[in-house]
Amino acid sequence: MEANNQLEFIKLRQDSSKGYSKGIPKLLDLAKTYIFDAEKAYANGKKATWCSGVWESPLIYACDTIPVSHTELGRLSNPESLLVAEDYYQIPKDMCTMVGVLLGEWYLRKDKINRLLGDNKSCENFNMAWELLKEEGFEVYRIEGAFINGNTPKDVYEQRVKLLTEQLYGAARWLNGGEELDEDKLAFEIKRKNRILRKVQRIHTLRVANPLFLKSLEAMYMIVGAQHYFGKPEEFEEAIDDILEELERDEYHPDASHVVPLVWTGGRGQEFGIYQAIDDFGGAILGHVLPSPLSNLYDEMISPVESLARFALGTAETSGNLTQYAETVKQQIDKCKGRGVLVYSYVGCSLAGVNTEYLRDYLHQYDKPLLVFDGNFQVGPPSGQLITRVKAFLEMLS
Amino acid sequence: MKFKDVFHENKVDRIPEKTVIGIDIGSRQSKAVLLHSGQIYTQLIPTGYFVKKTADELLEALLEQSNLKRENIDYIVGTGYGRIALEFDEIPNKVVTEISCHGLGAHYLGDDIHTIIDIGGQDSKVIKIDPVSGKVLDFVMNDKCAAGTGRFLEKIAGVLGYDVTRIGEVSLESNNPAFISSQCVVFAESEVISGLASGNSVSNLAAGIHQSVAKRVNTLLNRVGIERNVLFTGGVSNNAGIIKAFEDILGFPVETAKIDTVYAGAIGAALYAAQYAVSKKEFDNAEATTFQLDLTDLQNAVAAYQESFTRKTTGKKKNVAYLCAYTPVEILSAANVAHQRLLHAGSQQEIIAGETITQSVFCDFTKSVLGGFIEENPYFTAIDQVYTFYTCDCMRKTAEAINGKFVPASILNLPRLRHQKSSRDYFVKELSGFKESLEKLTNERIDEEEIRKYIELYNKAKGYIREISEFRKKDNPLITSTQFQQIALSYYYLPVNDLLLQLEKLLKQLRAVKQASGKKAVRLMISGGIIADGDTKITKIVEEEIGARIVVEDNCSGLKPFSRDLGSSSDNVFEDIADGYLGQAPCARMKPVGELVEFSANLAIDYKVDGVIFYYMKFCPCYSIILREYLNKFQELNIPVLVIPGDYAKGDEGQLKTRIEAFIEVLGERG
Repeated sequence: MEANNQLEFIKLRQDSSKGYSKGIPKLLDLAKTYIFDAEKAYANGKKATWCSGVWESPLIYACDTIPVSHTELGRLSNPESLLVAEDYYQIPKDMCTMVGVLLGEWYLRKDKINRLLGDNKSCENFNMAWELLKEEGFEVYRIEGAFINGNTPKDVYEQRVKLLTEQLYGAARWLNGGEELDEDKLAFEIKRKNRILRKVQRIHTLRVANPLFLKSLEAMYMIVGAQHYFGKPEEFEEAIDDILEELERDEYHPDASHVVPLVWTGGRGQEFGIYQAIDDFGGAILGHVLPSPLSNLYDEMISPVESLARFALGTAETSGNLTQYAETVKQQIDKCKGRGVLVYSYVGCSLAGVNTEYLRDYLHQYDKPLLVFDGNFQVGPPSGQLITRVKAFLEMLS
Repeated sequence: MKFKDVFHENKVDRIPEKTVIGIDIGSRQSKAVLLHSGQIYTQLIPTGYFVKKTADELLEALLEQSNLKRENIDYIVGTGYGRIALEFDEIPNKVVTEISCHGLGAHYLGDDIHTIIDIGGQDSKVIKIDPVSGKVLDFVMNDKCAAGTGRFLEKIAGVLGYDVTRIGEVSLESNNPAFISSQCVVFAESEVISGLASGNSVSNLAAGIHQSVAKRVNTLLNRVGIERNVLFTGGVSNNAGIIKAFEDILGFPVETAKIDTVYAGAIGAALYAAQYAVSKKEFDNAEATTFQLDLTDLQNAVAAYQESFTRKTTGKKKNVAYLCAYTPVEILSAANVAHQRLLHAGSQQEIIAGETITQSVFCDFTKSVLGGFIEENPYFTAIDQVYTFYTCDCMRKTAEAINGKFVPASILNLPRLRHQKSSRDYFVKELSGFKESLEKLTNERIDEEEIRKYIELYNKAKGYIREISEFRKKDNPLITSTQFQQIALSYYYLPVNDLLLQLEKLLKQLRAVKQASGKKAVRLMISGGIIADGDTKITKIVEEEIGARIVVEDNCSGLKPFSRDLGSSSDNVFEDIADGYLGQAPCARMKPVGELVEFSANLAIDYKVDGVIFYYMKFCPCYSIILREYLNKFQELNIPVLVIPGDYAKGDEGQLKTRIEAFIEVLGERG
């Protein structure tokens, strides 16, 4: 049986992994049910809010709210959502497909979770989309963002930390319905997140030696889940504990001598077909440079709000400074002995293009080729063209 | 054929008894219609390479059919994409856009028609008409893209082995239409080929393609609003598959006419010809003012200073460039730097070069900036440092690319939330950081009193620019938009003392002019994103070719940044600057975005505009997404808006002219 959409694909992977892992099916189940369960919980009176799901989840959890990462909506998207964006919102077809699809999805689900915590630092498309959502009755709270890059002087950096810290207190009041933040709860959430991030880092390291234990899409779920836990912190940590234990035990260790190690960068992508094609043709994504990096941890020695602000400012590895970005990708290549880089960008994304071209030039000197995917954020089976490209890329690197 | 066999029965008596011809030169087929003594004669031939020859062939064929001679013809109206090449010296004639012609034609062909879908070879349009008069109330056309056009359908029909009409019949046999996700003809073709290879039936693929076209056009329908009855015209209107696809989407049947509606445009043209023959009415936007503002001194001053900047002979320590109108020139001027806002619309070569860094999804403006560096344009290679206040992502990434590849570029933060105290306090610190960065660059201290001095000077310049703009509030504006834009841009190009001198000279000229007489032209506001230096396509078409007037520019390279002076109430100069810049008319990235729309609406009212051209750079994430909110506001004000996504490519002037001309026809008819 072949999967026609991501949910079906997850189901298939759950079935095929349960023979050797307890953790992987749990992880996949969390990914599959995330949005639906959050919507159900919200309908039953639990607080929930849409958010980027990259750095702010400890604050949201500390306010007894489920963080619902909008990028995870992608796996539910259908052709109608982009049509809504074009027909109802009159979004031009050349605009970012990711935001177009999400805007359509939000519109179609507006009777469900209708609160949104926006980070002004997000791209223009998101910032504009949130304005449109207000008209549909969404309650949108914005966190004023401050952008940094590798050249930001220390004093300027500190000013930006101060701004963001103030903003986070405001966001907490919004999440708490006017009540002040319980900083002890935030400190607890920060500790939990650091603990989970460390476990995921360890899994990541173990994967290099056993690349076929976790498949590429599962590895991606693990990384994005480490930021928001798919709305279920305890269950997510349990799944991660299982996977870590299974990898440490090293009982399931398929022969990986033929495997081509790869680094993934850019968007997280929601097209299961790409990941499937990479695995099917002998690749394994063992390095990641994403908007939700694993390498950063929260500082537990300072005030939790300031810690969150500092983490947020250091989060966006893929933005800020092109050289720094390219060097980060190179570090990942070195770490996993990557032979090539996969760059995922959404059609119409104005941020990705410059990064990609700069990275291409930078990696040329190291003889590391790039394969660029123009993702359209619509989940469906992989096209013949996509399969050909992935296969040819892996043949070239074999 | 008799009129009653073609026109709706209620309309036959309204057709003036004149002998007239309508000629519709389409991209694939040309059609002509002759009305004479209650009879209608039609002709259709493929459009030839020479449009004039095609029109002559049509005319001769109609004359032969009707046994008439050229001297019997009272009036000819030409329409269609080839209309501008039509010439008939001996017969009174006029050109009317195909949008107005399809509107009037459909009105006479059907009953109570409100909406027209016209799909031709190279474009698709949706037209909303007044069901009583047939006048166009609103319209929208596809962008420069084959999706949703006859050419798209024809190309894919070819892959499936059919012609564009027959493929429609084949699609009706489908029991499970394929989903075609690509709107691009190339990728859709690839999808269809993949579909065939995987065993999907021709009829299912054909139905999928028809649905894809209908969905694309439905986006246009939603933009003007669907009102029954709907008539389908144009070259694709004979295709049964597309009719079904539309009916499926609309949920009601489209109307039928007694004649092939491929002739609707030519029929409308003939009906306009009949009206003109009776009333001699013409749209006339010509003005009778003789005053010409002389900008020579200003142009020379800008050229001389830019030359000096390029040669690094301004006497200043460093050459600084910046990317956005939110960069405080008052601080730059107080530093020992020569400064220029990078504003040029690049050549095709520069844009292609810029695209090697940005890929295609950036606007042509950002590509122009990068292209200037890549192509080693001397003006760009003279730059020592670039600053940008982080407005849009494209600008930020452009600055990152400049920093990574060419010269140092610093990105400073501009808060989005205009009214939040913490945002403002933070911006104050960013401005202070900007000053410090300039001090490091020049190794010279910047005196805050010096910044105060420049605030005053620039406030004075803004005041002059506003006063100059006021002269456009007159019925016959004394300045064209082309001229005003040059004046506005000089704010970013000239040192402020030179700028003031030039502005004073211009004001002297303007103050001396008495109210000009003449016919009042259609007054437009151009709103939206940046119009870069050299991006003259729209203004040329509006002002030079059509004769309407753009009387105000609601964008960051026009009047908008001059709407407000910086204050002097705070002890901290950076607080005054922060309040001034955050308080100025907002760009689309500032929030809440409703304030931008309000500002625009007030400007439109203040300048008494008849309509608005909303022009934004293709791929601009800011201005493209606010469209709905913008259009809703102007609908409330009953001010029509024409939306044009733009780029700096050549060759689209014809299509642009059709849209603008039709828009101005609509405004003209509204009075």
